[in-house]
Amino acid sequence: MSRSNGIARGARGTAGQLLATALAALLFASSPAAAQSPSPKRRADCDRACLIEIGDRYMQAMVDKDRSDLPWAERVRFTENDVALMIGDGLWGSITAIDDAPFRLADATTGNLLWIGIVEEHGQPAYGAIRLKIEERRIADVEAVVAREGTPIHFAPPAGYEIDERFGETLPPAERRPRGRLIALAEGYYDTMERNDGRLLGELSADCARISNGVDLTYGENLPAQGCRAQFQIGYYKPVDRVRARRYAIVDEELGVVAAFAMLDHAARDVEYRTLDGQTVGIPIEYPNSHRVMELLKIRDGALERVEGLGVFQPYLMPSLWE
Amino acid sequence: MKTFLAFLGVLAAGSAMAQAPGRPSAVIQVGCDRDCLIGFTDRYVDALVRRDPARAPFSPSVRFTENDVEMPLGNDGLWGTINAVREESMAIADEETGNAAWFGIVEEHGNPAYLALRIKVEERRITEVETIVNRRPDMPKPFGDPAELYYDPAFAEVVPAQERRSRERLVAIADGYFSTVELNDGTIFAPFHEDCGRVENGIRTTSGGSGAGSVALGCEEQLRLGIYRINKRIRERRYPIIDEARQVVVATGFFDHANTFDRYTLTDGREMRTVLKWPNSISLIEAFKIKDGKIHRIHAVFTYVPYFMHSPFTRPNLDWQTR
Repeated sequence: MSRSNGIARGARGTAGQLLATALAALLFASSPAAAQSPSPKRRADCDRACLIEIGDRYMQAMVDKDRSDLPWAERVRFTENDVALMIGDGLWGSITAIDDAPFRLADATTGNLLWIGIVEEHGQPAYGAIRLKIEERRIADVEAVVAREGTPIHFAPPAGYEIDERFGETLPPAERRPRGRLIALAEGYYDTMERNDGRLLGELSADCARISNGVDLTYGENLPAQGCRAQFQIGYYKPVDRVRARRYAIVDEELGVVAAFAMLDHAARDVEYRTLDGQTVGIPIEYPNSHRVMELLKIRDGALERVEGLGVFQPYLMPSLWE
Repeated sequence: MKTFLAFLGVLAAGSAMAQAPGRPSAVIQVGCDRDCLIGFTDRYVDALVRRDPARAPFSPSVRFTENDVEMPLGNDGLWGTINAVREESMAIADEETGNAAWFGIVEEHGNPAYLALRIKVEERRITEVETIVNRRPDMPKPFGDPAELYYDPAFAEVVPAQERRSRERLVAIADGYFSTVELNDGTIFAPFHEDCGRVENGIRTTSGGSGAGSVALGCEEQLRLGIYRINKRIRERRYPIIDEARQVVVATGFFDHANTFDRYTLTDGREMRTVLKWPNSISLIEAFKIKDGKIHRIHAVFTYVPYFMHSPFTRPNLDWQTR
């Protein structure tokens, strides 16, 4: 992902940017689709560019704190960190700026769009992932996941953070896999994490890495094994009791990227454990908690290459409202 | 004949509504006095610390929440991590509603945590258990030294009959406290005793030291300054336990911090800054001792929860309704 000059300062964009946005909005409002009666086929009418454009408008509307011009469905569902809110509340009330070079993943088949990047609240940066579901060219679902500083979960300062550029690389046709296989590989990844018996349920590339809230959880000092594969093989994920409420709403076959939403439950019944290779490892949080995760999975030539996304500290067994 | 049948129909419908709305019977027979109810809290805590739910009389359909997440009772959450309970505690009971509260300190893997709970007893079985567990490390919030925790004996003192206020007035006074801290701009909606003091998560927050106590001393003095301006709402207020003889009310609820602003001005002109810059809520169980019709002592245990999270006891199956 290329990045120009970090966080954009809300509505204080350049005149050119504002004009482009205004023209885009005008074109959108006057498009034939907006005037037609609802039809089940209409979802497909919003292609990748259409989804991204609505996503960008949504993000800008938050910074502008003006939702009036957004194309809302008749019934809109909105959650922020798994709590249902009214549009205008939560991040809408605290946001002051957004990333000017976010990573966006669109899936015209499901009508979902993901915006992932840095958001600022009163000048304090946080990792943000916003999923929109577009029906009839209108926003029907808004799912915001915001990982903020000041909770017990791992968290690296977001300044300068970029999603790895490999997520944006288009794969040569020979390295692509169909949607169903990509989802199966993502499922295999989380099954492997949940079972944690040393068996790999799906291919992992030799240099597979997992980054969460800007922290590399797979390579570094004080880790009992280096890389996804080695960590799974020694049963490093024992503290994860369940990987629950998994969803794969956004898949891009050309990029080989799946956007996964899930809940990781940590019952914390033991504060330390032995890995399969005999190492004693302590758990990071010594009481029950859950993590809401939103992760991008890059799959190249049938092997998981990289996992990157957000983790939000949640009360233990926090329900997800999207199942 | 038709008229007579119609009359019977009216009679039948009328008899079905012959008690107060929502009440199963016009006579509530708890069959468990104060000592009995407090005995149930003791049995609950005993079962909890032994991680053996068979040691307490639970209804087969008992409902259990920990930090506002409903889960099966007996194995998950604190039930899976507790290893000790400190001897000092405080219990309050309401013979009319069959509810009782218990405040104390537990240990999870040796780490102390503040526990406040409410149980409901029906037909000598525990049917509801609502718990707030305040752990460390967590977010910036009071966490007093457990060795110095002090339960004010005033909560246990029986008040002479002629000095008591009615149940309804006790609730109104406690509710006035919440209305005062909501949007706290210096307006006082509750009577405060001149000797009023408050303990939150083991810290005396009205008598000097750090936090609110460093800004001003005394309950009313702090509230006249508007130091709790960040409370957008005090929501889902419930008053399940009222001890008229001791003039004590136990409340549950949520403080919502929308944090649409990160600085504010006290009524004396001082500028304050919020610690957290993003939306969050706290969930609490709070006891009020009323003396001469005024708030005399406040004892609260609270923890952070996701912004605008609901209590399953307040809004069952209404997750998508937000008001």
